[in-house]
Order: sequence, then C-alpha cells, then structure tokens
Amino acid sequence: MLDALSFFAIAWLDPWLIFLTAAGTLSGIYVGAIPGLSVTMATSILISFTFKWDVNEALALISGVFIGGVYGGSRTAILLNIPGAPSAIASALDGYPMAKKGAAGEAIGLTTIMSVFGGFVGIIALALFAPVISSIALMFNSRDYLLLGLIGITLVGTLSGESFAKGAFAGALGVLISMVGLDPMTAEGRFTFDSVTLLGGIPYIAAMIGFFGVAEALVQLRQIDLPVVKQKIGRVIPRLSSIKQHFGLALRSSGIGTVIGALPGTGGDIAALLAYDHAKRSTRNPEVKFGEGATEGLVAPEAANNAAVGGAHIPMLTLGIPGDAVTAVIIGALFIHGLKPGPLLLVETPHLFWFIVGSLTLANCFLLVFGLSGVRIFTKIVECPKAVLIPLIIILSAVGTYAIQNNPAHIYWMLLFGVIGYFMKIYGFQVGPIILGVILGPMMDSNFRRAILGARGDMGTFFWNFVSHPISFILSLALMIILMSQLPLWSWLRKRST
Amino acid sequence: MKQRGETLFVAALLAFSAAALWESYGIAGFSKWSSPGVFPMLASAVMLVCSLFIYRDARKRGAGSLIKNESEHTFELSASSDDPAATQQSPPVIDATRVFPRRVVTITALLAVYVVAMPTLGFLLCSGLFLFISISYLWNKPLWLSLGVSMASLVVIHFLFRRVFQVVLPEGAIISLFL
Repeated sequence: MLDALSFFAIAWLDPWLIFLTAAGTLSGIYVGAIPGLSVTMATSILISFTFKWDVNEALALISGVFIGGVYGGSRTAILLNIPGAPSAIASALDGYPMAKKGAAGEAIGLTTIMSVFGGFVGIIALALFAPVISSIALMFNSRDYLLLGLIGITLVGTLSGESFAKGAFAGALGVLISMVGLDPMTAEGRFTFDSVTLLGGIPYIAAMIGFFGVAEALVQLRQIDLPVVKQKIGRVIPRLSSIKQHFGLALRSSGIGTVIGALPGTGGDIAALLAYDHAKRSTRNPEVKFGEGATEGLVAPEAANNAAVGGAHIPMLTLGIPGDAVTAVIIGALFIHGLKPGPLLLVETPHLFWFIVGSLTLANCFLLVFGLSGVRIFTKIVECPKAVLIPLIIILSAVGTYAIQNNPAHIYWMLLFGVIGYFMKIYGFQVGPIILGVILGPMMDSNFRRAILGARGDMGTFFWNFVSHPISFILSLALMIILMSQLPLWSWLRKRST
Repeated sequence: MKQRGETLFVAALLAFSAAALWESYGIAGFSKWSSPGVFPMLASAVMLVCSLFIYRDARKRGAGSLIKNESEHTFELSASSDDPAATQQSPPVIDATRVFPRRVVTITALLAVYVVAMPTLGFLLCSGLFLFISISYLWNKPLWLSLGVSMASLVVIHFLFRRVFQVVLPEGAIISLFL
C-alpha cells in the first residue's frame, strides 16, 4: 500500500512531471476542442516525438493530453455545435441550445465540473479494479487472449460504424497490415514481395498518423467553408445548487462511462451516448426539454465520457487490450518504451501502473483549473482558420512519422494510409477498428497458433477447449452474442417484441 | 445513402481482399493450422466476405450526396427520430457530390510532392514552400499574410521539434552540398 502511494506521488512531486502534465492537459483541451484535431491524432503524433524520452515524462504528457482532449471536445460542441471529438457528440445536443440562449458560460462551467467528477470516478475504478482484474487475467491462456482480441475488434466494429460489415472489414484490414513482414515465430516472410523494406513490417505509427492525421485533415478540407458561429460568454462558475441537483445523475453516468470505457473496443463516444439516453429516460420532468438546452443532457454525457478514460485504461493495463482508439495508440507508446501491457505489468512494474493513476489524477485536477479559466481567450483561439490549421496538421504528421526512425519511407506509408483513410471515411468506414486490428493482430496471431499447438494441432480438441474451460466458455459466449446481435434475425426479433 | 464512386471503391476493396487471400494462401497453403499463413488467410477471408456484403449494400442503395464522417454519423444516431428538436440541431450536412474535390486533389498532390522532395530539398525549405503554397491556396487573404503565417509557423515548428524534442530533421541533399 505504501509502495503504491509512493509510486502514485511521483507524478505529484517532480516539478518537471507536473509541468508536463499541466502542458499536456492544456494543449489537450485545445486539441480536443479544435474541430479537425482529435485526441487520437494528437496522441499518435506525440508518441513519435516522445519515444526517446523517459517513460514517466512521456506518460505524464500523454495522460494530460488524453484527459484534456476528451473534455475539450465539448467546448466547440457547446459554442459552435461542432463536436471537437466523437466523445462530445452527445454534448452538442443540449449544450449548443444552452449557448444559443446565452448560457454558454454556465454550460462550460457545468461541463467542467461534471467532467472532473466523472474523471475521478473512472480513476478510482481503475485503481480499485485493475489489480483484481489483473490477478484474474493471470489465469487466462492463449485461447482467452485470442477471444479477447476478437471481442475487442468485433465490439468496436459493431458499435462505431455505419454497418457491421464495414467495421469488421476495417478490423480485418488492420490485422492484415500487422501481418506484413517476418513472422516472429518462424521468421518466414509474409506479404514481403522480396522487398527488404517490407521485411521489417509496416510501421504502425505511420499507419496511425496516416489514418488519424492525414485522412482527417483531407476530410476537413471538404468542410473548410463552414461559417464560424460566435457566442457570448456569461458566468462560468456553476452554482452549487446546480451541482447538487445533478449529483445523482452524474454519479450514475460516471458508472456507465466507466463500465463502457472498460469494455474492450468501446470508448467515450458510446459511453456519452448511452449516458445521454439514460438521462433522457431517468429524468421525469426536466426544467427544459431534452434537445432544447436541458442541463441533464449535458451533465450525463460529460460525466460519462471522462469516466471512460479511467475505464479504458483497465483492459489496456491489465489485459493488454485497448479500451478505445486512444488507448490503442497509448499501448503502442508503451511497446515503444519496452513495456508489455498485460496481467504481468502490475506484477513486474507496479510503479508504472500507479504512476499512470497518479498522473491521470493530477491531469484531472489541472482540468478543473484550465476548464474554468481562460474561456474567453479560448473562443478566439478556436476560431483559427482551417486554411492555416490543415497544412500545419499535415506538416506535423510528416515530421512525427519521420521522427520515429528518420526514415523517409515511413512518410510514404503515411501518405498512402492517409489517402486510403480519406476514401474509407467518406464512404462510411471507421478507421478506429483498423488501428485496433494493427495493435491486436500480432497478439491474436501468436495466441491462435499457440492455442492450436496446445491442442497438438488437432482442430477437434482446439474447438472443444473453447467450451470445456470456464473462462474460454464465457468469453466465447460473449463473442457469440455480439456476432448474433448483428444477424438480421436478431433485429427482426427485436422489432417483433416492440 | 450511396455516394458517388462508392461502388467502384468497394469493388476495389473486393479485388484487394481477393488478392490478399490468394497471397496469404501462397505463404504456406493449408500445410498446418499453426502455419504463418493461416491467420492472414482468415483475416483476408473476413475482408472478402465483408466486402461482398458491402458491395451488395452499395449497389442496393440509391444515389445520394450525404457525407458521413465519424462524428456526423454517430451524431445522427444520437439524434433519434423520436426527438425532433435534436434532429433539427444536427450540424450542417455537407454536399459531397464530388468525392475528390479540387481542393482535396490539390493538397494531396502538394503533399505527394512535399514527401518526395523532402530528402532532396530538406525539411526547412520543403515545409516552408508547402506551408506557403497550401495556405495561400486555401486562405482568401493577401499573399504577404500567408507568407508571414507560414514563416512564423515554420519557425515555431522547427524550434519546438529540433530544439525541444531533439528530432533530427532531414537537411536535404542540395543544402548539404553547400555546407
């Protein structure tokens, strides 16, 4: 316990780490707020610059950006009706009507308090449950990891896209990208086409920056002429009575956010939408109708999406399975620093786990400070024209990709993935499952083959093991339910029942 | 709704998936279930099956002009049909009849030139030119303002990444000749 506290305090006692966390949180708020810049994009670019740093410094900065970015998206959702991040989509539904009624300051203040509250609930859940899950995960075998990877990709494909087929395609494409290069088990070449460059595989940072940075910048070019809406900012600090009134809803929404965030493959956006739905159902007589500026419609998604940050860290740190696209990128950062997220992380490097908890907590405190101050300056900065912003994003993406290995070939990959990602985005494909596939692909491949070898190559035994072992059985059942829910028969049954 | 060119794009994905499946089979065939080619075969088979469904759906849908990026799409999901107020306040729908507008083509071409020219011209010169050309092309402001913003941004980026983050940026073959 004392050890945990001392590791937790590292982030709070080193002035340089405090500065990095603060800088990360502040820049995260702006990154999350400016439409066209996403937290995933910023984190993936950031990783390429921080991979030479000490791991604590890199994690302090990234934790700040993550916490600030998830919150920042709500600012432009409220002020401009343009969610800065997918996790702020639900916040625009009532936040923007509030701003139109002249209550933009109140909406931002309430959002800040509830985001910080939700953030703390998520972090407490991370600190309490991660060690428990980690000790259970020590009992997992290769089959279970294969199933967890499949569940993660299937869930993200199911919940985040236009159609399940598009989500599953994107996930499988990610897995295929990760297969390029020498097979780590037999050193046989896969998709190398006798090219020396391809022997080392496709750099996943280039893929991440291409899909999240360049592709998004190109999509944003289509919306460059959208007019800027200006709002008046009033009182920012919310009234105590308003906070008290929404405490119960914020607590329930934070619970939803933590659980949804902790599910592999689901993140703040889905958590926020479910919490919004919960608020609509549970609030009998709202003072203002939902969709017309109900404070409940702002409180619920904001508490939930920030709680999902702590939740998303649980599967990432205990199972090595990313909770959402940002944690998929952070897992990449941990790999670069030579760490292996999974059940052994808490056993072998407990200091790292408690350091992450400490820096997330610190970032959440900074969020309170930065969230309630500088709102008027903020409104000026987010008006930065996209015509300037987009070329800058492209330059940053190129520098970030080059910085990993000083290899110009990586920038070619970035460009290729950027163009492919652009087409995928405009045709309704999600790029999140691709990155999840790239990260989880090698893990699923090696565990699939280990599971087959464990069954001595006999496919009958291999499949029997999925039902004869309790953990594998539960995970297989979960995967089956997710897959079944995508069948036309399921929607037909649901329609009939309603 | 279907967008222009969607069927063609999905057909390309279908062909790519089939080629990937063939190439995966070439790695080790069906020699062993634990061979290095099995998982790539499974992944490309999933891609092939999914792209068949996507192709069928794309052909079924009528032609339209609605763009759906990640946030907008989910926004529509959240603004359910039983909530007219929320639906009214969705962000503006963007006309996307042109899949690859001139602006996107120009910037992509500029980016391709930038990427190819960087090893020769170096980061500073290449990025300066890219920023100036693209900002003055996209921004309806006087050229001197675009030049000023480009140069100021370049100085900040160079200082931040070269000095603070210590990233080694390409100097360029031409510049090296004069040094």
